[in-house]
Amino acid sequence: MGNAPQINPLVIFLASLFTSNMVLVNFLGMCSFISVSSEYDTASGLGKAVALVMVFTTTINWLIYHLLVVPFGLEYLRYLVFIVVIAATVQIIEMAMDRYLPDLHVRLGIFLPLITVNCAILGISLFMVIRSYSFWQTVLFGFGSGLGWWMAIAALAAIREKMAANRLPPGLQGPAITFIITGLMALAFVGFSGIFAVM
Amino acid sequence: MKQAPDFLRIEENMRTGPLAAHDFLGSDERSLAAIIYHDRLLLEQLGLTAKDFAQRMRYFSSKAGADAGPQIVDGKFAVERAEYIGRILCPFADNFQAPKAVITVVNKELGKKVVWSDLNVHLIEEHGFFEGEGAPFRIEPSFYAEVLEI
Amino acid sequence: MSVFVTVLSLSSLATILAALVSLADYHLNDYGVCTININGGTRTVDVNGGSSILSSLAKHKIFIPSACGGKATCGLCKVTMVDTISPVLPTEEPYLTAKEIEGGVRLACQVKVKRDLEILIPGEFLTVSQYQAKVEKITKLTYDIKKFRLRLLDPAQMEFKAGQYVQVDSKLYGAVREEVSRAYSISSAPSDRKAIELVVRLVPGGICTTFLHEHVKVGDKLTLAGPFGEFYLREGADHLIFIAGGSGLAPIRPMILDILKRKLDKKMTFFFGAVSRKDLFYVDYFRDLEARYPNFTYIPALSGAKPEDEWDGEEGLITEVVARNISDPEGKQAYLCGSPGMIDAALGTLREIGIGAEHIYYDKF
Repeated sequence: MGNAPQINPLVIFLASLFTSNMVLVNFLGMCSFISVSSEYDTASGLGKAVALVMVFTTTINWLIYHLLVVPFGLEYLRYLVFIVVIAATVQIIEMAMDRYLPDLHVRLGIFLPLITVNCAILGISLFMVIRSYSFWQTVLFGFGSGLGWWMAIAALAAIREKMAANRLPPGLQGPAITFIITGLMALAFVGFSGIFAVM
Repeated sequence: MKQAPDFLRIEENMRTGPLAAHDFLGSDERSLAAIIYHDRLLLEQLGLTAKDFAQRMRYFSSKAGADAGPQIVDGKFAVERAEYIGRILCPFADNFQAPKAVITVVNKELGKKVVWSDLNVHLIEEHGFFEGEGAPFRIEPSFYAEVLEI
Repeated sequence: MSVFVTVLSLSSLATILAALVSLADYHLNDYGVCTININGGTRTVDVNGGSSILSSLAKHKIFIPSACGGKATCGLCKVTMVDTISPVLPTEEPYLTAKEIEGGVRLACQVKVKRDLEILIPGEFLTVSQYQAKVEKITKLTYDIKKFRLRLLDPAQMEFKAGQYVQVDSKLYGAVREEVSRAYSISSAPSDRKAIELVVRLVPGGICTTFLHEHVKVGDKLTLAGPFGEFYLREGADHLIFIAGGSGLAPIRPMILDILKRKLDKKMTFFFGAVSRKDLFYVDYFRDLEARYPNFTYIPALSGAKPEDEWDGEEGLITEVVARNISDPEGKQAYLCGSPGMIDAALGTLREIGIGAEHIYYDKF
């Protein structure tokens, strides 16, 4: 905790949004990024859910890591601890969503439980350990990464909706062209590099 | 082989229980997607399509009346169609229902016999699914192609 | 020591999380008491919200027929919602037509009760009850058909119309890891209310028929629900034609017995189709009825009689036999039960004879 890097949490927030975007720069969380991005509304819904889960899980995981895992010397078990916490959080969020946002719950369907195994979520918690972020740095890192993931999938879905009517060679339809679009988007995001300090 | 989440649900339907007393996947350890993929390769080697298969099977079952006893078709095939009361749902959850019927064809020149159900024809035509190794209604493409002379 | 600390801290973490999840489940999944209004107030039930319509109604002994037990694989448990409550789920979509979705039809096993609901279901479902029954006798009728006599225990009596069916629940056996329910026609006369008989043909790979044929023994207890079905005798004809094949004989037998018992002045002709001698059953029984009642005629027919069968009765497909024996459509009703192929063929034959569709009755299984 004591040796957290001297970076303004706000800078970390902006960096995780653009220069080190979870999906477009680190290529984490690709499965649902590709498969749930054909419809803007659903994609945006999933993006919001992922962002929500990210903020909650990174915050909780930071607390548990520094208050439980480190004092007991259990660092080698952090993968296990993080995954269990993520699973429980997703469960609770799913129940809350079923209750208060049933429409969104229906549309996200099977992908909501799958957020548990979205590698971006675990990735964030592990990055925060490797980069030894402080509490506020972690919160804004989780928030920024979540927003970044949401922004990326919403943008991709918007592009895919726009080109739904385009005529593509059969071999390029579906996931194939989506990968190419993702690549082009990633190239565009590389253009952000150098604007903020990246860890 | 990695497969879409809805395939996992379909695999569940295919297991012993919800629809039939046997497992559509048999003792096959491959995933549903892998079974379909490998059978498609097999068909390509035989120079056939799933549609060819389904058409030929439908040809025989249309020649045999329901519960009419064995009929001789084209001089060398003995075809029999046993029908039961009730329908069976397609495990791919497409709301297709097949009559519960079992068709037996004996190629008398070769002295070989094949058996299938009405649902098999739909599974092959619409889903390219020949069932898993060891399933009671597994349609082994090369053997059926030989006996039915597809 | 460190092992102890590891295990302790990990387990306490897991325990706390599990407690949190169940606490959330308790609070978030608690929708309080919801009222389900059925058929415009014919019946209202108060249920604890949070579970599906199907299981909520079953707790109040209202049984909507379902073959898969609530897993959205059979698409049978359709109910109509009076007002739209939530969008149709992807699990329901394959089983609903566009027209049904527009009309508010949903699968009762997929819709959760979260607030007061108004639904419409066929009226007969309200009179259906669940029965516990004991297997009293199992008789082998042919190589693949068995008759099961079930003594009703709780409730001890069932009132049904000749031709109706019950849903029998299978139990787990062998590799079968799920319970299902399947429909079987009652083959005994409605005058006996304390026991019912079912005639069941073994279907290759059939989940419930295999259970009944190979795993049920005399003395076993079974759960069933009923009676269901629109297949029963109607007024307004003086000559009834019954056409059945295989276990399709089951609902026809009580219909014939019912008319004989009520001494109705109706002529009856019963066509029973089978492949060969080994598929025939109840022959002596119906021959005896035929001898005793002049208004009843029994015509069994074999489509693939073997030389060793020494068959001197009618031969050919049952539909051909019907066409040979019936020519005048006047004053006739037809009751069919058999495989889908047989029903289709019989419908064609009856149409050619000139019997209108409104005088033909059959169960669409």
